[in-house]
Amino acid sequence: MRFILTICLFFTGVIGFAQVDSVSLKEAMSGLDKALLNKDEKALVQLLNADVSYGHSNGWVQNKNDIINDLKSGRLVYNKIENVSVMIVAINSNWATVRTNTNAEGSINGSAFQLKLHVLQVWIKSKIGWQLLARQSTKL
Amino acid sequence: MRYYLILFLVLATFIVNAQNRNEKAVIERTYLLSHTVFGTKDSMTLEDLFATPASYGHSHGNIQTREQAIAGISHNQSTYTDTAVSNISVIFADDVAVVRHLFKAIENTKDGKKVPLNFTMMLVWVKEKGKWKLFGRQAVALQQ
Repeated sequence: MRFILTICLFFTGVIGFAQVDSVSLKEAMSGLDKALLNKDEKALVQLLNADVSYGHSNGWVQNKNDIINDLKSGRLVYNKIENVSVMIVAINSNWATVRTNTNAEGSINGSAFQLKLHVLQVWIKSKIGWQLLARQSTKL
Repeated sequence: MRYYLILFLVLATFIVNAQNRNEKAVIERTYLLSHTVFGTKDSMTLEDLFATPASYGHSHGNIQTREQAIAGISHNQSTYTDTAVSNISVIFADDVAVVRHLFKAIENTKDGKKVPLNFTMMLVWVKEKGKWKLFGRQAVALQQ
């Protein structure tokens, strides 16, 4: 009986742990969306991996400096980042892959864009929390 | 002092070699994936390449599971000519590797049409038991 109880507790612990992980991941994801909208450099530095590779639907790829500088200079402005659906495809103690359908609005070099996107994201859990390692969008 | 320097150099060499080996292995798997998807369509090779929770994204946004992708690729009736993989880059974070590359080809459809393909790909590989397995793939169509 005690043995079964131990097994039950063990699995509860495992499930509990996994849930906490995906909760913190979803927090990091919404934190990143907010940081992009608000040009929050401090949050971006925290949430973007040093080697991040951020791919857009036209093939343009930004690194960490590009992401921050293009927001600062106003080259890229986000007015809306709305996740229509979020699916955590695989999650592990130190990495996760996520797919979202996302509506994004803003402007690039002064011309407005309004896009319906499918996005693949790769997140890495570092000592300071979840960080985006890679992202690629394609137009729906 | 000299002893520490030698130890440091040995360690540094070891780390660089390990990184080079990983990069070589990931690039080999990337070419194998491309040659299989757009060439041999061999399902045994695909089963070895794809991790169980793999997700396979096409350029128009439809997503397939491992089983759906392997079935789709191995039953694909198009053939591909002038295939070219270029501009491969790899970033590593622990046992995760993200590969980007360009892919061009001519798709020869079953009904005789020739369709030029111009894609950029993002692949997510994870090292499991010493082997790099595909966990994610996203294709994006670029303008011709």
